[in-house]
Amino acid sequence: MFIPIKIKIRAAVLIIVLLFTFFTLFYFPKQEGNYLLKAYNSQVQNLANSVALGVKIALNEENFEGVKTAMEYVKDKPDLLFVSLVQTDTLWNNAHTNYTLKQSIFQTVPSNVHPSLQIHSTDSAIVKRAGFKTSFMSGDILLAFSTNEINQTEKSIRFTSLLVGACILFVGMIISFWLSKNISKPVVALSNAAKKVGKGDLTPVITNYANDEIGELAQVFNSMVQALSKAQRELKNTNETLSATNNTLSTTLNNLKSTQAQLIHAEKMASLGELTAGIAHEIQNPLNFINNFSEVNTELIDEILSSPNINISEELKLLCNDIKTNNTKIIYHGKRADAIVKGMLQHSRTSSGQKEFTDINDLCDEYLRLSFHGLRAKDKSFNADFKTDFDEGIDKINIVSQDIGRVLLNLINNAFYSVTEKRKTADENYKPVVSIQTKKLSDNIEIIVSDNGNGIPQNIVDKIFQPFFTTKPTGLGTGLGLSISYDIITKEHNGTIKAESREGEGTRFIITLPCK
Amino acid sequence: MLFIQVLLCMFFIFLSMNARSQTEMLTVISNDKGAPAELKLSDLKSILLGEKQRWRNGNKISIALMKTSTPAGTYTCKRIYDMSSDELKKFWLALVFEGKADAPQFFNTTSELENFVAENPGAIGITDQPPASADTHIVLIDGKKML
Repeated sequence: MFIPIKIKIRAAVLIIVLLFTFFTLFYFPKQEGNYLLKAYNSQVQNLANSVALGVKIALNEENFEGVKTAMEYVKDKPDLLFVSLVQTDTLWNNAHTNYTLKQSIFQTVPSNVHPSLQIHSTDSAIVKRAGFKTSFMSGDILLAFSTNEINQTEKSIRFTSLLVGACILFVGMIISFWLSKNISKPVVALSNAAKKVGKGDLTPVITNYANDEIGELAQVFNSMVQALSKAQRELKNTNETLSATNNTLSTTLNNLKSTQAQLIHAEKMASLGELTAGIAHEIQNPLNFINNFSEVNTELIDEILSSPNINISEELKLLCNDIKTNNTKIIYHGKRADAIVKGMLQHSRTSSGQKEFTDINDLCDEYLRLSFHGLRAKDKSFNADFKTDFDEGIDKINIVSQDIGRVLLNLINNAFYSVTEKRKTADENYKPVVSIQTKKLSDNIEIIVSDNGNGIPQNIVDKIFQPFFTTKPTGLGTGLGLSISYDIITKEHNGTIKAESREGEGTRFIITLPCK
Repeated sequence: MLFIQVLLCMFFIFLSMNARSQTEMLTVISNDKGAPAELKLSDLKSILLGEKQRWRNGNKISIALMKTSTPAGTYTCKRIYDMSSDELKKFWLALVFEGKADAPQFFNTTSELENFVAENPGAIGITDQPPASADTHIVLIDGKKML
């Protein structure tokens, strides 16, 4: 159970004061009364002895001054009840062989008091006897004094004790409050300050401390808090430094991971490219045969049908036409396959283009317009807005302009395709926009091709740079455009290309190329 | 011879009578500022019993007696107080005890008694000899010098 220190101090002082008050109020008066009674008893006994001695001397030496003096002294006492002279007579029997002692009161002062011979002390009277013996008279002096004075004295002592006890209690209460305040207040202040420090607040400072051990404790506490505060600041600084280092390390780690991913991706792409080249190379020869001989077959059939020397039936003509049609299809698809193979070979082939310092803003603008107008020429219904935001502070950069142009064309075509597709399903308020932006960075330039089309789902955005990966319907894309673009940017120009997309909102392709 | 014996007997008888007479003769002496020249026996007894505390002139009466162990004292007890010495002591003890009177001063010798009487105005004493001091005088009791 938590008991505040000031309560303890007050309780302790109060207990001491109460004990002392009890002692003063009860024990001391009682003891004092007993002492007074005892002294009174002695005094009365001494008086009785004095009177008895005086009587003895008076009777023996016929000098009654002692009796007179003692009696005058005794009679002046206000508490005197009586003084009796008891005579003891020896009564012999007739044969003088046995005797009895008979006591009788010889004289009593005051004369109107008739005490009993068996009288003894009570609470209200002290009765003392003192014997005397002379040749002709023996007896006792019986002296009785009232205890009124003692009782009055005891009452007076009690009253004084009560007053003293009350004063002591009052003073004790004041002292207890003063002590509790002077001890508990600084202790409570220390406790509260310590609690604050425990919660992390290192601002509390103990002031107004006394010149004692508690004051010393307060000073030590202040020093401790200052040291803690200083240590905390140093720790904080160290933490900040470590945090910055950690951030740097984290960034470095992320960069390393990114670089690792890029390296893996690049390696994969390189592997894919090699694989593609190998397959394409093997396929191209048979494909050439297919295409060539299909064309030959078509020519032969034309020759048969057109030759006047050859008589063919109608049925045979129909068959020849069918064969010709089939050949046309074979040629068509053969060429398509050839185009794919050529694309694959192109993909695997490193560029042999010459780098030259090129105005990237002009290049972007050229290919943007080229794409737009090309698509407009193919499809009259095609329409979309395009915007440019070129950083005029970009100097010419050393690039293979044709390859970069191909990349830009690819990205812009894809952007126009995406917005066109979205336009088919969007409401009439939808405005397709493709924009291209250039920005000069510290050591790089940034080209951003963005659109507000359908966007790319997150689960496939990492795959778009893989060869043959396409989201377009069959026949509309080979799936090699972005793969080739990736190679051109990363391998040929030591740049980066990445895609940021939100499905349903649009896509941004961000290309960075070194300035030098 | 017989005559001589008778004379001797009468002489010794006479001496003893004289001795007894001397012993049994008391003289009341007083300080000049004390008792009057003459007192009645009854007054004397009253004074010696402590019934009277002061003379007419206002002086306090101081009684001087020979100790009861002396012949004069013994005779005083008998002649004046009609008590034995023990009874006299008890008598005065009772009076002093009660505080009713001051006890007499008891003396061992006549000269001490006389000196006391001479030095204390109001003192009266019983002795068996006439006083030698000029400051004291014999008090006639019922006209007699001797009791």
